[in-house]
This record gives sequence, C-alpha cells and structure tokens, in this order.
Amino acid sequence: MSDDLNQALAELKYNLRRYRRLIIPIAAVIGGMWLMESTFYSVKAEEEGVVLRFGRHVASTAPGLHMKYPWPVDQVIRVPIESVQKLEFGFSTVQAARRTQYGAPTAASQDVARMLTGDLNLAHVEWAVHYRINDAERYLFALGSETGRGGVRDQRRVVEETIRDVSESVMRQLVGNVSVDEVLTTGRDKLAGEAKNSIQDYLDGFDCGISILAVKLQTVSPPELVKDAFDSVNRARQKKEQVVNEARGERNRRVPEARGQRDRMIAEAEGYMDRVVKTAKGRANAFLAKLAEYRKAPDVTRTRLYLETMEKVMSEVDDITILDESVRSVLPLLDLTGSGASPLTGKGGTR
Amino acid sequence: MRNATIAFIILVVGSIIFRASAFTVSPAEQVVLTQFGDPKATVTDPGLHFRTPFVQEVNRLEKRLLPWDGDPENMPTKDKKRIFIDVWARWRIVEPMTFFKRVRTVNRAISILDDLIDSAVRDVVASSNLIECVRTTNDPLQYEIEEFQVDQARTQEHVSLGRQKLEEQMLSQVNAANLPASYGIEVADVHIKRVNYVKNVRDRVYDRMISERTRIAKLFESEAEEERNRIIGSTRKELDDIEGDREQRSAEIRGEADAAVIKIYAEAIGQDLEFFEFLRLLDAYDKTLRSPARLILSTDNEFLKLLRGPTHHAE
Repeated sequence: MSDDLNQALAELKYNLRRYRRLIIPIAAVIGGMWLMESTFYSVKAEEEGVVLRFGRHVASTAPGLHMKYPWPVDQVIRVPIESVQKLEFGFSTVQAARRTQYGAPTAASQDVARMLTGDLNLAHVEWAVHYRINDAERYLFALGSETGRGGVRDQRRVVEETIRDVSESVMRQLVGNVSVDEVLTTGRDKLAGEAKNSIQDYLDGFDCGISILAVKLQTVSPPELVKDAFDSVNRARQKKEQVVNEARGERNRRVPEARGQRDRMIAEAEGYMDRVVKTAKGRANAFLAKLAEYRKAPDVTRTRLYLETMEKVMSEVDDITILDESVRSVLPLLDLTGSGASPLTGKGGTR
Repeated sequence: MRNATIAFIILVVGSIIFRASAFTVSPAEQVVLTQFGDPKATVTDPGLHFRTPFVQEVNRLEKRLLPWDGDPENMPTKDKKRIFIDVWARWRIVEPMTFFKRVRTVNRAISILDDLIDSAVRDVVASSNLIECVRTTNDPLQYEIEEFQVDQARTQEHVSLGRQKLEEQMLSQVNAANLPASYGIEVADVHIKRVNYVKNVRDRVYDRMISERTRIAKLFESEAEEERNRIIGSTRKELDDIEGDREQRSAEIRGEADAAVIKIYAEAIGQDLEFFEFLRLLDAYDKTLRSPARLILSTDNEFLKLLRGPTHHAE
C-alpha cells in the first residue's frame, strides 16, 4: 500500500520535473484568459452598462462589445433599460396568453382597489402602470432599501416598491377628488391621463430614472355589495327608454291612421257633393227642358202625359174596381178587407 | 537572487498594506470611519479612498432615499369618523456621523420614524374632517345622473385644506423641532397611501350608496310612467283633433252639397211650380200604383169618363 503511494509520488515528481517548462506558459494562458474576460464585456441590446471605477460612476455604455480596466478597478452593472415593465394594482395576471388568466381577488388586492371617492362613497378601481428605466445610473443609485445593497434584481424590487406607493397615493388622490359617477363612467380616460402625469412628477422628484409610459384603468366598478343597486339604476333607465319608446310607437301608429281616416271621409264627402249636385243639375235641366217645350203647347202635353201615365198605371194594377154613379150603392157590399190586397185607400201603402 | 527575494517580500507586504488601507465607496453609500469603535471621519464621495490600516474600520451606510411604510392605523377624525389610514414616507441619512453615533442601523431609524410619523399623522387627522383626507380641491363633483348633479351644490362638503395640504402638514409636523435632523435623518416626503372606513362604517356607507341608487331607480321608474302618460294624453288629444276635423269637414261638405241641391231644384222648379207638381204626381203614380194594389175608381174619373159615353170628353 505505502509502496503504491511512494510510487505515485515518485511518478508525480518525475512528471513535474518533466513538465516544469510548461507550467509558466500554462499560467500565462490562464492569466491571459482571465484578463480578457475581465477587460472585455458586452452589453445586450436592451441593456445599458454602468461602469464604476473603484465604485465611482465613470461611464454608461451602449449595447455592443466594450473594454474596461480589469478587476478590481472597473466593475460593470448591466441594467435592462429598454424592456417595459408592468405593475398591477388590485388584480394579478396569473398567465398572460391569448386568453389571459387573472388571479382570484385576495383580501390584499381588494384593499388596493378599494378607495374613497370625493363624495365619500367607495369604488373599486383596478389599474396597471407601465414603466421603463430611462436612466440606468439614477435607477441604481437614487433609491435604496433597509436591506442594503443588492444586485440589479434587488434594485428592481426596491424601485417597484416606490412606484407602487406613489401610484396608490396618486390614484387615491385623483379618485378622492371626483364623484363616484365620474370614476365609473366619464372620468376614466381623464383619470388615467392625470395619474400618469402625476406619478411621473412624484418619481421625477425622487430622481430615480423611471419613465412612466402609461397608466391603464382596468375594471372600475362599484363595490361588490352595491353593484346590484347600481345595475338597477341602469335597468330602470333602460326600462324608462323602452316605455317611452313604446308609447311613442303607439302614437306613431295611431295618428297617421287617424289622419288617413280623416282625409278619406273628407274625400268621400267631396265625392258626395259632386255627385248630388250633378244629379240635381241634371234633373233640374231636364225639368227646364221639358218646361220649355210644355209652354209651347201646355194643354196638349198635359193631356198626353196624363193619359200615358194613367195607361201605364192601369196596366200595372191587376185589381181595379170601377164604380159608376148609378151603382154607387154597391160600394158598402164590396169586400174591402179580403183577398190579401191592401187597398191604397187605407193608411199608407207598401210603397 | 537575494534582491529578488527582498523585492518579492516588499511587494507582498505592500499589497497587504494596500488591501488593508484602500476601500471603495459606491454612489449608493457613505462611509463612517471608526478608530477602535470611535467614529473619526466620514466619506461621502464615491471612488477609491484610504484609511489607516488595521486601526480604522469602514462602516457603510445607505446614501440613497429609503422607504418607510407604516401599518394601517385606526384613528378618529375631527368629525368623529373612525378610519384606517395608511401612510408612507421617504427619508435619507444626511448626517452620517450623527446617524452613526445616535442611531447606527436602518432598522433602528425606522422604529424612530414609526413614532415620529405615527404621532404626526394622528395629530393632523384628529384635527381634520374626513373629507380633508380624501379631497384635494373644491372642484364641483360631476354626476352623470341629473338628480345627483342638482343635489351636488347642496351636499358637497367644503374642503378648507385638502389632502395635499394635510400631507404637507404631516411632513412639517414630523420635522418639527428638527427631531429627525438630530438623528442625522431627513424626511423628504410623507404621503397618505390609503384612507379606508373601518368595517362597520363601511357597511353603513354601502347601505347609503344602495339607498341613493335605489332612490334614483325609483325616480326613473316613475318618470317613465309620467312620460308615458304624457305621450298617451297628447296622442289622444291629437287623435281627437283629427277626428273632430274629420267630422266637421265632412259634415260641412255634405251640407254644402245638400244646400246646392236645394238651390238648384228651387231655381228650376220656381219657373213653374204647377207643371212640376203635375209631372211629379204623374211620376209618383207610375211608381207607386202597382199590383197588388186595388184601385176602386169612379167613372167620374177623367181617365174613365169615356166609359159613360163618347160625349163626355169635352167637359
């Protein structure tokens, strides 16, 4: 066993002696590689490199390959300045996809979204803030946290905490200054725009290198418990419109119909007038024409007309009884009630 | 060989001393140098700095703006409303030496700020109405529903200071008597994050909101009835008007027609009433005397006179 060890040591010694001349070149190569690694650095497309020389900021570099003094002189912190970050308030996206999934509301998210309006009502407001880093150095060195220094990832948490605090204050201040109606309906766009500017102003005051790209209002609603009451107002409003429309529809149906009726009856009356006047004129003219000729020979015409009519009348009547003066005494014997015929001497006739 | 050894030793010792005396300061921090625990100097510029090796110690402190976030505190307002108020602040270490002597750690500073800010917030809230913590300006509230808009001028509470001024008051109260400065701290900002009702007040607010909305819904319902009846009434009026027109015009026209007829006949007949009567009677006989009528005539009748003899014709 110890023979084996001795033999191995002896072999190592031999090998060291043998490769002695190689140690220095190998060390040089390793050292050179380390130097290269420590001198050259690359900055990715979405990043900015912040170069610190003994801790002091000396340069900010754009994407690409760069050189610096090797460690421990220069140090580079890469900050992703181009990527747009999103903070959610009162809701949480579980998985962003074609159909984004949202997390169930928690007590904490409810507290974020619940706020007082200017008329001391409550509203539920969800919103999102989109931001980007516009100054990597300020981003790193303006805001700190109680836990001391950390990497870029820690810095993101620290800065986002501040954006959160500011956003909540700003949104509540704005919502607190308008009515619940305005928050829910007409004021949405205005709120989002004002919130963006106001949050930016606050952050500019902290000089923390953040640029707010947009504030988007998400669900804005009355609190869950009073939603029904708010909906009932909308329902009543729609119902009102419906009732009024129905009444107007009924009017629109009946009035033109009545106007048509009116015009029809007037037209009929006018037609009547036309007809009866023309008939009367015709008859009158006929009479006048007859009269003119009659006046030329009144007796002749009179006798002729009388006889013609009598002839016609006599021929039409089947039952004619003729009495002579000499037989006038039979009159009482005549059966005036029988034979089903009603004598014209009675009261009235069938015509 | 000997010289090389000496040079090597000097190099090693030199680098050890360099390592022990040089230190870097980043823009995020400031340094208090202590000598056996006794603070001697501060370094606030970032970069490479030196200290007395083995004697002085480097104590790093934050130079950046630091967060302070309070817990929601339950407190009453001046108008006796119980609310939760949640406040945040931002502060920084401005006098590292003072801070190091009196406070030393960030966590201790935060607990000092807890006391300072909490009491300032309580003082300010207790002397303000709730509306002052919520609203910032006296801009008239805008309502979509007309009814509320009408009420707005009457119901809107007046704000004399407003939220922003309250926050400023809190900040100046925190900084009163330069208390933070005596710890080497500066409080830069104090802001209200959330103002919320306590649970049972919140329930009452919900009830109020519900009753307000229900009132408006009822109003809409009765307005619908009102408008409907108005439309029905005006429709009836219109219909009656049209139907009246109809009756009037058609009666007038027919009357006019009948009058014209009377006039036409009167004018014509007036020429010779006796002839008209004669014609009309003949016509009437023709039309009325038909079977099954029974005529009982005398031979005195003009038409039948010849039945008595041929000589009667010229009577």
